[in-house]
Amino acid sequence: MHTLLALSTLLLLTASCFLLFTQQSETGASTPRHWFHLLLLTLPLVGVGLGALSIWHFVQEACFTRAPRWDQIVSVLLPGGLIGGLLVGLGLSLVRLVLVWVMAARGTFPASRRVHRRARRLSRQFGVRAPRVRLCPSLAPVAFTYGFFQPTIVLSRWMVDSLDKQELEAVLAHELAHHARRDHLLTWWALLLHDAFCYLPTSRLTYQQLRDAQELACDDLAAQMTRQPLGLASALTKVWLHTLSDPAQHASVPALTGTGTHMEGRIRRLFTPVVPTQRDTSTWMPLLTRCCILLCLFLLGLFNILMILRLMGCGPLS
Amino acid sequence: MTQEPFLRTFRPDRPGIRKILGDLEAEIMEYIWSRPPEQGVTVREVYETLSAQRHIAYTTVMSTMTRLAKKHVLSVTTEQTAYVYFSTMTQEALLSHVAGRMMEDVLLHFADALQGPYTELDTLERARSLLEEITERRKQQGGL
Repeated sequence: MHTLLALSTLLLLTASCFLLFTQQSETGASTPRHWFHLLLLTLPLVGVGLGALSIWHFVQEACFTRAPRWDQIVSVLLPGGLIGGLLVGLGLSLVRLVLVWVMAARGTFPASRRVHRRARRLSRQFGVRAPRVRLCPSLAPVAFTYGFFQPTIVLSRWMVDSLDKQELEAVLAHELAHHARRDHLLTWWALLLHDAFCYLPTSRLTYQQLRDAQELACDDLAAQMTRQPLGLASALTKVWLHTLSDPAQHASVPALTGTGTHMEGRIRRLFTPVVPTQRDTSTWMPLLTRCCILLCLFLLGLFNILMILRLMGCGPLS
Repeated sequence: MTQEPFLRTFRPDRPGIRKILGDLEAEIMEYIWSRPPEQGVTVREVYETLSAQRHIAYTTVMSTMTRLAKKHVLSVTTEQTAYVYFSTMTQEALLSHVAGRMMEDVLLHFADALQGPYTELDTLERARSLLEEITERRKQQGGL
């Protein structure tokens, strides 16, 4: 009975994730979709919460005493596995965070004053703190930002040597856009949840979609700030060309881009930059309605479990 | 029901039927295919034909023909006390069958390898032309 309850909760949770995932095409604007991805990634946490509650309950109450031994073991192992997955995800994300800090601190050196000046000017436009720009001696296209409070942009030697002034400025603007949107915090949280629930296909797909959406939004923001969308398009194409001509080197380093038709589409959309429009409130309503339906679904599932426990003579409602 | 020939070896450096059969196997099969297909052949007949050309042991011929029967290149029936062997298909049909199987196997297992270089080259070409297009547009806008 315990196993049945745990499995039905998991099934309900997975089905809800799929339901929510299939609804995302309805949300057109980027901001609701951004929260939508987060909601979808965070949803499995409810399962962990329920699992922790069930373990606490089994420890406190002697329920279903006639249940076989394996049922009791599985009833602890299933929620225990969920909690373990979350802890592993948390550990991995912390290790990753520390590694980035250590590697960036030891393997990089400050960029020239000229690059710093450009970055400072752009940061004023974005309304964020002036970033530190550091260079790593890599011959592959690398550009990333880290730092929760003061951003640090890390660029590879290849970036500075191969890109012209406009292109480099566009790359700096793209990285600053990540900081202005607080993407690194969001990505850290999303990656933690992605690692913790990697067994859920929706988590993997949503994480990828979130990253793609972030990159596109930062492209738009960078194009808007620099007013040179073709500079960014050119920089992205050079990175893409480098990736194609030397895929082995690219595989070992983080880069700005993906590959294939997705990459070409990302570049071509910069030819006709998106004009920022007023937020369309009509897109919020269907999303809020669906969130309410989902919440009701979960409350119903929880209520169902509690009622079963009550009928069986155990649990908080008995 | 005739089973499919079971041939696993392919030697690209050998001519004709020897690509898929050993030398003695090929010699025996060539002799059998040179006769009318409905006319069976015994080990003794094959041995006498081959031994007229060179020294060969009867048991060698017998074991080779047994092996060909196991590979379903030959079928065997019993007439009185003797085993009579028949070819399961003509030389052309056998070669066509083996070539078909090999192509099927290559397409099944190396489809990515066959497509890969062309796709990669195509994408590289697209990326290059895209960069040229962007550079042209930037020149027109006075960005370069």
